[in-house]
Amino acid sequence: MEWKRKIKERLTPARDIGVYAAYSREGWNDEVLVGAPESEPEHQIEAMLKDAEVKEAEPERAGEEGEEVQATEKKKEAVEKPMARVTDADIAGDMKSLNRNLTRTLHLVVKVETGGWKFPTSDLVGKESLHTVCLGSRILS
Amino acid sequence: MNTWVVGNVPIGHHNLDHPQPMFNKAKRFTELGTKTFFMRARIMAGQANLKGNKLGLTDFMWLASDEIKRAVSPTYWNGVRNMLPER
Repeated sequence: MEWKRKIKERLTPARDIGVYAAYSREGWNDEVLVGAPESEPEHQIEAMLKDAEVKEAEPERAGEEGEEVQATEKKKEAVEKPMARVTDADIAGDMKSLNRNLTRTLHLVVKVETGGWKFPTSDLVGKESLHTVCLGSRILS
Repeated sequence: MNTWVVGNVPIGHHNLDHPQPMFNKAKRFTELGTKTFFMRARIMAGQANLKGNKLGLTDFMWLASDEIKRAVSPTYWNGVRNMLPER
């Protein structure tokens, strides 16, 4: 029922082409114009959030009998908008921050005495295992 | 720095032969080269702190793989590149 109501408004399941009816007279007009807001990822994220919001109000409707709840009593529980993917550290270019470049895996690289950059390395002393050396000298210091 | 070493098995190794066999005074034998084994660890909280480290490290950076390529020497990068994850 929720789907039927949404599809009436949007006429299409896709969120990036605006209002498009495939079998109507305007079926030929299926391409998004250059620079249209629909193609922006922000617009699509907001459309998805809007759909998510109304979905949470749905179980409250079932309790009411014979009332038209559609426009009047919609308690929209706001869904949290996801945080931006580009953080302050990204813009500042702070190489030491772990908040930078959230989409990639960051590795720790250290500057050695000779001036080059390498992953932290240390020698094995005596009967140490590789596993314990990692936890001990280099990483915790 | 709260870290966790993933497993006991290294993710790769790197051989480096010394140009001339070196005599290691501390251990009293002749070294032909170094074998470095790389272990994968995940950081869960905290930040790297180089204060009072015994390895003579001066600076650190957290880099994605393409940035590592630019910072590190070409031979080192060649040996290390296949151990790193795709993204």
